[in-house]
Amino acid sequence: MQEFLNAISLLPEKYKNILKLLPEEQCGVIKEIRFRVGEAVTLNTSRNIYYLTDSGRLSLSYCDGVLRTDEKELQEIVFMLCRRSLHTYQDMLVKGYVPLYGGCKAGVGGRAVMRDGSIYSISAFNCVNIRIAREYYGCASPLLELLDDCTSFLIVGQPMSGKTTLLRDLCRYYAGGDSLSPRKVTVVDERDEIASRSFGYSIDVGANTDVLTLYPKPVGTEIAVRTLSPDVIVLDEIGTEEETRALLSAVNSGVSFIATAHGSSYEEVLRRPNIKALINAGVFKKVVVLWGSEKPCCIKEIVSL
Amino acid sequence: MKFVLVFVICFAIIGAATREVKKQKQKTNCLDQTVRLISFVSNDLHYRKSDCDSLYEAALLQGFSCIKAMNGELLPEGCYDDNVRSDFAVFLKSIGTTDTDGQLKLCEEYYQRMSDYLEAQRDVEKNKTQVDFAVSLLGAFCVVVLFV
Repeated sequence: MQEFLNAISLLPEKYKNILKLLPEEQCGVIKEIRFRVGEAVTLNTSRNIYYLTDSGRLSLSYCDGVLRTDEKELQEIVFMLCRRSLHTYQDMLVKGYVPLYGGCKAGVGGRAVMRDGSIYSISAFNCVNIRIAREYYGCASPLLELLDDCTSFLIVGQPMSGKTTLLRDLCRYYAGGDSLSPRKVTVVDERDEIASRSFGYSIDVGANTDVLTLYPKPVGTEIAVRTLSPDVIVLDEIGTEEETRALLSAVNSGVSFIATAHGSSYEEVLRRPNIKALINAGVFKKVVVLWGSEKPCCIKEIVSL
Repeated sequence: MKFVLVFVICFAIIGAATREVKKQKQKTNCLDQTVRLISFVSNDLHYRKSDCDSLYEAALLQGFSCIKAMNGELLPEGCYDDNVRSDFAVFLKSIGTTDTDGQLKLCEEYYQRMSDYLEAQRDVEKNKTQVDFAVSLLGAFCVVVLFV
């Protein structure tokens, strides 16, 4: 329930009050809350899409009482999610998201304002997708049993398959205060999703974890290797050319890497040239493939390299 | 009895002048704080890009009580003239509504505007202080001459 409340805490009062009317058991299974201009507010679970009614109930069919969001309301939603401070979130809005409390994230879309060939800002927002992050202590235990002390691996999974949740639990395991031989872990948290450190509320990622919040992954990796002497560097959603270059230049510095990437199978990620280059260079010793959104954090296969 | 009356009238005249001078000083201090607040906001936006809530807290910690107007709190009467008050309200309302460049331009514009108000207010305060004291002393002198 707390995760759900974290996710809706910044919404305008109207929506917050209606969403608070939902029963606790329903809040517990909701994964996404979606707003679109002129359309009904929808709440997604791993199986169904529900329409929210203005009396705070969920409906599987598009009925009369469904709650709709108009253009003005959607601009207000984004403004509120940005804590009434668009300047603070400008860079993140350009990348399509706003970090919320407790590792939750709002994906936003609108009209791109271009300057010198790249996106400078976003205006006329037309969709918002609030993703609810949940903490599962111990969800990495089955994986740890299968890894044989390997601390360099790539976690591959589809969206909503629990990659970030697994990463957090791995951080807690490797850097936890109750571990007999804790490792020094550095998290390069480019999107503030893993540790959620930038806005007061933070998620437990272990007592011996340094968090580089909102650092671009290539810069963060370089800083971590040069100044923080980590045993393990943790990165979420790698795949760009710059990130690949940064990891390749840091690979022989005695640091292990745990990273995640989008994909549904080992063969699929191998078709991504940057990931393939990292695997071929020996950055990772294993590739862990997750099942998907129907079985979050569950392991489908482990490929030893 | 006559001396007591003279003393009371003189005291009242000088007291009224002092009160007016104090009022002008308060206005100057408020404007001075406002100008410094805008400079603080500009620096913070440039370096930290703080969100509005953090900015509010940081400004309060630095002693900028006029930032309270950002959350709709009414500032003490006599702090600002109406035009200054409405300009300041517009400035506070605009924080957070655009990108950093836009915010910095806004700060620059309002810094200049408030600095102009401050300069004008300093002139008013200086002139009023001189005139009010001169008039009140003259008034007091006249009272003394008339009664004594």
